[in-house]
Parts: sequence; structure tokens; C-alpha cells
Amino acid sequence: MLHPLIWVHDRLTDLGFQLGKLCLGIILFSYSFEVVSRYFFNAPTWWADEAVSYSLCIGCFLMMPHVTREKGHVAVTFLLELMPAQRAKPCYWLIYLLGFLVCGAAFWINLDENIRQFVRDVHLMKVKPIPKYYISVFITFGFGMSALHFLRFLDYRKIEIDQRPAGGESYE
Amino acid sequence: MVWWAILLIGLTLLLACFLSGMPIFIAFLLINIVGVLIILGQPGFGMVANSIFETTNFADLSAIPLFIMMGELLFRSGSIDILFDSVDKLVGRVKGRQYVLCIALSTVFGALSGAAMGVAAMMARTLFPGMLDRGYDARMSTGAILAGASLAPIIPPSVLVIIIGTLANVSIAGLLIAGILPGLMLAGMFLVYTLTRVRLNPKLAAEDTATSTAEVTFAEKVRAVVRVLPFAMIIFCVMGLILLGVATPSESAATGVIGALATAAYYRKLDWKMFSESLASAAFIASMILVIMASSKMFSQLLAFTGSTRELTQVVADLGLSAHVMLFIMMLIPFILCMFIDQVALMLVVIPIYQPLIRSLEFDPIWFWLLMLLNVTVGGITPPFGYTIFAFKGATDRVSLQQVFSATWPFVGIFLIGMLVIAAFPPIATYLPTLL
Repeated sequence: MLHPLIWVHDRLTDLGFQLGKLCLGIILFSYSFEVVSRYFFNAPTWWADEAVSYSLCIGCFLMMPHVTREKGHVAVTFLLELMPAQRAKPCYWLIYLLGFLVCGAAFWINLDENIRQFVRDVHLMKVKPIPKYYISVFITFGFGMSALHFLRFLDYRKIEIDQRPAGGESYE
Repeated sequence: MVWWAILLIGLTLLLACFLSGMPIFIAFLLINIVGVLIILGQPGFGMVANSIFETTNFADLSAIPLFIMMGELLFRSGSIDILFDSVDKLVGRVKGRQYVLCIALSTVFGALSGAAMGVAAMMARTLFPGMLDRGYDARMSTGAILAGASLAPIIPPSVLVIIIGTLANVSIAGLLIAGILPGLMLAGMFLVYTLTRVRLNPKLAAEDTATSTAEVTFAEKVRAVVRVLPFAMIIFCVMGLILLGVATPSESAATGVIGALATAAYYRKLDWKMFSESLASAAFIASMILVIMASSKMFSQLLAFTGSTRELTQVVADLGLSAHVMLFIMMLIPFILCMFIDQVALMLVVIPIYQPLIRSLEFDPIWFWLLMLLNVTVGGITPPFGYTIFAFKGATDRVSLQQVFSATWPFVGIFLIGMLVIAAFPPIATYLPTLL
């Protein structure tokens, strides 16, 4: 049976994945509504741009732990692929360790900023100002959860050499 | 520490991190966090957090997931198969017609998809086996498909344009529209090249010289045109609305998605599972790109903070090199680097350094960044590291990676000639944006 903490981590990652999809749905709806409203009814919305920018930021970082779990982050791995498996394995381990440390540091930096924004009551200067930490807390979530996924990859026995640490998808 | 040492050390460490195989966003974050700690100390960490927030909280970048989703909907729904059949019917009986079909399809797909990988993989699965079965030359077929797929980031919609436009602070609408004529010109050059090669060596298209394809009647051709009309609506939703000034690029991306949904529904290929999978895939890829962009932002701010970019601009100005030589150098560096590292990562490093140089050299930004777009796009098919190559090879096992590598070089050459033509005649890139 999976350790309860691992189970919780996976379910939170799944939830982030589904909500990340929802955010993209909100972006699609908001801009479609805006175009129709503006050009057919001459009634531009005040909220579409804000909904889109917030959804983009929130969706990106809600989806991030799932991307990390799937080892979907872009990486230039051709040198690692040229290595014999026995040499590549410790390299992958080091990359995962670095991933954990860097994402952990980014988590801490963003958490610190969230607390600062909360204490100083920082608001976003938009048509309808909202506390900044409402949005930026998702960045902290994304890095924190990703750090935990990198931590879980550190189990040396489970490192599979045919699985690249990243680069499964691209975007050119 | 002097500015050039900071710049040199920063860039060397960053490139070393990229080549180490670590995720690109980790490489950027590592260098940025360490850099901030050394240069600004712990109080500078707030800037790191803000740079991440500002990058992803920017509505213009929403075009990235939306353009990806548009392509995903069309590919996953199978609507694209109808387009495939129709274009197949419309291509006449010419020697090497499969090459013509390949390039014609790529050009149309380029106007429907913002990413080369999807087109390359789709063509490798559908068109490529047929080309080989008909006795077409494997190397030439591979090259034609890869080159054709590379039109996708040039002809709007284009994910790369959104990234370049955002980073370089250039009109995204202008840059998108600027890609139309160069994309069509390159498609024409690919056609001329392949047909000339077939004429000189008929064995490159063996079957067409022996047995020809079935005759397609005029009525069938008319039906084929009618069947693809919904795709014209999608192209209008993206390019038309931008050109008419009705929608911003991000809004046109959303209307393009609606157009893709309507097209899938029209062909009775729309279902919830397919829609959900397209959403998931687009959100996944967009997250991957945006996390890299967010992680890299601080790098350019650090360069600016240390005065490195300002000093570099001054040094280049003092060199007194002609604009042509500078353009050549500025294009050569990314061309070589793109053989080894990811295009977006490269742009994130290069753009903040190039921006002041472009201003001091008084280059037209649309023209210059379009040349850069072509440069990084061709990076997708230059061995040994190229996503378009990997996507193609991942979808077929009928050619070796070595064959794929050798197949791309003639088409890389055509791309370079195309870039020279655009460099010499800027209106090819700059004329359409002036109509906006």
C-alpha cells in the first residue's frame, strides 16, 4: 500500500491537473465571450483580461506538479543518452537532487513573498483589485509539489535509464 | 567583477547546465538564484518571486495554450484526415506528386497548427509510409516532411511567435502576420527544389514515372474544395480577425479554438473525451513552456542590473562593424547553438542581449525577429538536437536516425537561402504588418 503522504501528494497532483485544465477552459470562455460581447453587442467586459491572466498563472502552476511527475519538463538529454546506463544513472540521480533543491528553494522564496504580500496587504492593480497572494500562492504550490516529486525520484533503485528526466513534449 | 566576466561566466554556466541534461527551468532557476544571492544578496529573492509572477500573469501569453489546443483538437478529432484527402484530390498528376502533396499539406497544416512537432509526427504516420510504398526516395521524403512541418511555426498561428513577441516586446500581431509571405515563399522554394530533383533524377519518385494515380474528375475536385471550407473558417478566425483588427492575437487564438471545435462538430468528430484530452495536452505543454519562461525572466534582469547588456552594446557599437556583418554574426550564433540546445531556452538567453543591439543598429524589429524565428525554426531540423527530427523519428521506424540527419541538410540550406532573400528584401516580412 502506498504511504498515506505519497497518496495525498498524488491526489493533490491529480487535482492540480484537473483544475489546470479548467483554467484553460476559463481562458477559452473568457476571450470568446469578450470577442462576441465587444463586436456583436458593443459591450466589452471588464473582467475577461483579468480572468485570463489569473487563470494563466494559476493553471500553469497547478499543472506543474503533474508535468514534473510525468517527467515532461524540457531538457537537452542527448549527452546523457550517449552514456552507458551505469554512468547515466548517477547523473540522473544528481539531476533529481538538484531539481529537489532548486524547486525547494523556489518554494521557500515564493512562500516568503506570499507571507510578505499577506502581511503588507499587497493588492493587484486591476479593475477589481484583489490581494496578490490569492494568485501567487499557486506558484508556491507548483514549486513545492514539484520539489516533492523530485524528492520521490531520488529512490535510486527506481531510476530507469530509458526514461528521460524530461523532454517528452515540445512546442516549436 | 567586470561586466564581461559576469556575462561570460553566466552564459557558460547556463549552457553547461543545459547540456548537463537537467530540465531547462531548473538550469535557469539555479543560475538566477545563485546569481541573485551573489549580486544582490538575500533581499533580492523578492525580485525572483516577482519575475515569476509577472511572466505568468500576462494575458498575451494565453495565446500559447490556445494555439496548441487548436492544433490538438484538429489532430485528435481526425478532422485533419478530411483535409488530407481533399488536398490529395486537388494535387494534380505531376511527377513527384507525393512531394507536392507533402509540401501543400504542410503549408495548410501550418495555417492550422502552431507547432512543427505535431505536423511532423502526423505526416510521419500518415503520408510517409505511402511515399515509401510508392517507391519514393526515403531521404528526400524525410527531408520534405521535416521541412514542410517547419513551416508551422512560421505561418500563423505560431507558438514561437508569441514567445518571441512577448520577450522582445514586439507587436505579436505584426510578427504573426509577417510570417505569412516568408512561409509561402519557403513552401514555393521547397516545391521548386523537390520537383527539380525529380526531373533530374526520376528514380526519386519511382511510381509516378511508371504508374500514375487514379484520375480525379472535376466534380470530385469541387467536392474536395467544399469539404475543406470549414478549415478556411478557422484560418479566418485566426489570421482574418487579426488582419481586420477585430481581435488581438490572444483573442483570435480563442476564436480559432472555437472554429476548430465547430469544424470537429461539423464533421461529427467532436466528443467530450477528445475535448478533455486536447485541453489536458494543451495545458500540459503550456505549463512546460511558461514555467521555463517564468524561471528565465530574472536572468535578463540580472544582466541588465550588472550593466552587462549596456556595456556589450557599447562595445559592439565601438567595433564599427557594418550592419550586414553584425546581422550575420547575430544569426550565426543561434544557428550553431540551436544544433545543441532547446530553441526556447536559447531565445530566452539571446533576446535580452540582442534587444539593445537591435536598437543601436536600427534594425526593423519585425524584420529582425522574423529572421530569428526562421533561424530557431530551422534549429528544429538541424542535427543532432532537433525536436522536429525527434517527433518524426518517434512516429516512424522506417528510416534510421542517420538517414534522417542526412535528409535535413538540403532543406536547411533552402531555409538559409530563404533567410538571405528576406534579409536582402525586408518587405517580404514587413509589408503585411504595415496593413494592420
